[in-house]
Amino acid sequence: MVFTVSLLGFAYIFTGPEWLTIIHGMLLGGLFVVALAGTLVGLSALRPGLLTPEGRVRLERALQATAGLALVAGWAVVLVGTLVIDPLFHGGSAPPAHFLESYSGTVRWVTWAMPAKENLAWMSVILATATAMPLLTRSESMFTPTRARTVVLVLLSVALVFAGVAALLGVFLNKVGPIV
Amino acid sequence: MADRQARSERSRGVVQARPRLAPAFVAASLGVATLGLLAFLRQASEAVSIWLTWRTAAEMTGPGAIAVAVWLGSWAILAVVWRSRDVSRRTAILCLVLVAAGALLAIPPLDRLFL
Repeated sequence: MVFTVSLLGFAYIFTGPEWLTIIHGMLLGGLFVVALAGTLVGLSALRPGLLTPEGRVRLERALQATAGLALVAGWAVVLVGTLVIDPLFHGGSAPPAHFLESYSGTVRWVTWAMPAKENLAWMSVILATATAMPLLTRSESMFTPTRARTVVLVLLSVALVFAGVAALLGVFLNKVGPIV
Repeated sequence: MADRQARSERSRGVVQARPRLAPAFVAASLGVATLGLLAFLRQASEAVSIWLTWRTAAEMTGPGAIAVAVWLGSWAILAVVWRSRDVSRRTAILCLVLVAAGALLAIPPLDRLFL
């Protein structure tokens, strides 16, 4: 079944599963990566000497917003991916996985790329949740140069890299074996 | 004076109590390592892969749920055991080792080296 949406003079004509992949990857996944990147940049700027007291309060509130957005978008993207997109990829009437497995050159997209993408996305969102805790509570240890702050910066960077690689694999998987 | 400062900081939402960050970081790293271990076992054994697929064609349902259970369970336990533990150098290294192990197990080439 095809669903058509008109927006700003453009008609977007996609099937139901195609809309789901758009929501999963472009909307939720995009929001997650952008929010993670924003949190990382904001936290690296949250340092004594760089900010006025008012600037610190504003940046801490912005970090609460970006960390919260990363949490919501991150868990939404992995749950939609696991419970909705993955069954469409492996099952359904014309699963892309069967098509990719029929040729030796594309088999690794099913046996390697898809599992790696899923695992990296789950790892990323778990790390993003742990690092969001001190930001959401506006912990004092995030403002001063503590070891906890360094660990948050490192784990956030790892989460961002994992999310970026997962997103990249998702984009290529949608090219070689699109869900339609 | 101290009361005024405390009120001012509370109004800004600054949390003064020492947050339990070490348990949160180590538990999340344990969750990541669990995901990696389960991914490796899924690659190694078809039976494990089938057992971990709790919902038809949704291969991450089992590993995801188990990893979240390990993560939240260990977080709850560590929050009690490490009640006032700060993030030490050892804690930081432990987190990095667990995350690196998880990533290496989940992302081949390890499956090509050993399987």
